[in-house]
Amino acid sequence: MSQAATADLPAWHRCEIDRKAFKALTRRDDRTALLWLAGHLALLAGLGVLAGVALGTGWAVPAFLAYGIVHSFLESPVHEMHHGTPFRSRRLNEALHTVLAYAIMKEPVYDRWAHTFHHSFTALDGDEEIELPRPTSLRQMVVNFLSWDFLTTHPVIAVRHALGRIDARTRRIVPESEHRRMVWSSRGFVAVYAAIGLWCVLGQTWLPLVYTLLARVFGRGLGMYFVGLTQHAGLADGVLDHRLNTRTFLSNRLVRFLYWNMNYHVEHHMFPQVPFHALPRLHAELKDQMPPPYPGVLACWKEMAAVAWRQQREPEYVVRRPLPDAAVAAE
Amino acid sequence: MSTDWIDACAADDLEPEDVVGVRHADRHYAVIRDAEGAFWAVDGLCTHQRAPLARGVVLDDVIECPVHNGRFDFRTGAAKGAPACEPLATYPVRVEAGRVWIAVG
Repeated sequence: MSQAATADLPAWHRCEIDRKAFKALTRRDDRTALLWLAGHLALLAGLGVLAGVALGTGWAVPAFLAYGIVHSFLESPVHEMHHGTPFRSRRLNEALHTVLAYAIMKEPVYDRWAHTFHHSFTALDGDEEIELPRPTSLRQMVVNFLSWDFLTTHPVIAVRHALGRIDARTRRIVPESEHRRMVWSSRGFVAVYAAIGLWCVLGQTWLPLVYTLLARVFGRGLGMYFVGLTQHAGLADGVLDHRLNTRTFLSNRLVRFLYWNMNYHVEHHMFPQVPFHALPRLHAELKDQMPPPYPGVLACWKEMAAVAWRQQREPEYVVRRPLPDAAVAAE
Repeated sequence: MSTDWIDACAADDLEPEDVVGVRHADRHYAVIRDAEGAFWAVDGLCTHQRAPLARGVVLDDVIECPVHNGRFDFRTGAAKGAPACEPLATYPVRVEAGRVWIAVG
């Protein structure tokens, strides 16, 4: 039977870290995240302007694709704000959390609870944030490049909640005390997209939809999906060690900027109190206790594709990440 | 009605904005030192999924759960936002001769 949100926390492995060093890594300030977010939004706005200028020319396609990719990476700050870690000010966090979640077509209350569940039960029975559960469906792996899975879940769930329909799956994840807030947040979500639709009708233009909902269709595949699927796909499930069911990869500044350092995903799962900007330092602190990081996104995909192919014949097959010798002895 | 005071820890065990866990009679407690140096005591397990708050982070007047970032005002025990929905119990604290004592009963 799938886990319930109220089930006791599994005993996840936790690497050793000096308490003082850890405290230093968990410090927060508003300025760092505001600057990072401003940069992300400025890039998005710039690409949006370029795409608009390019309309009617052959450059429109790559311009809108670039816009859509950067738009999809707004999932990164939303994820960070689920945790409340980027800002020292909770009010600032919650305000931006709502705005940005709506922008990426996620209802923030439900999504935060679903993500909480994912952290409790990562790659365990019932974790629906594992986008491609084992055995990997090759068809799904390809179809998700067009965001089919995303578009048929998140907005549908939000509409259902806006109508006050809370099913067993939601009840498993979201406690009853939060249902009212979730329903009203879902209504806000629906209102925003209804307003965008109305804007299209009154303005007799598709552009508002192109820059919002449709950006999720054409941008997410090569953006957040391509990078984010590396987090867990093809790795062990049913284990209580994030070093075995999660990937960390090294990458260039642009990817780390758009992904808000979530390439350090093992570190994030193990110590979710560490804000995104301190994850590289946390990685340095823990690297002797960790499996080797992947050299890049493509290396992750090379492994994921091989695993997905092999799982067609051997559904139980997963990658076994090598742990450092001392860690294996301790296990 | 008598109050049970237990010797929780040495005051010097805690820097400002830090937390230490205490076990007593199968119960978990968290002793917190705030930024001004004052001591507070709350239940040691998060009310969401019982994660040990001794591994948590103290930020201003909040103790944050190490697993899901649920937050509690450690002065009152109030839950400050999801996934922390239920409050923590709080316990009186006194400091004597460099030791922190908490009243658990």
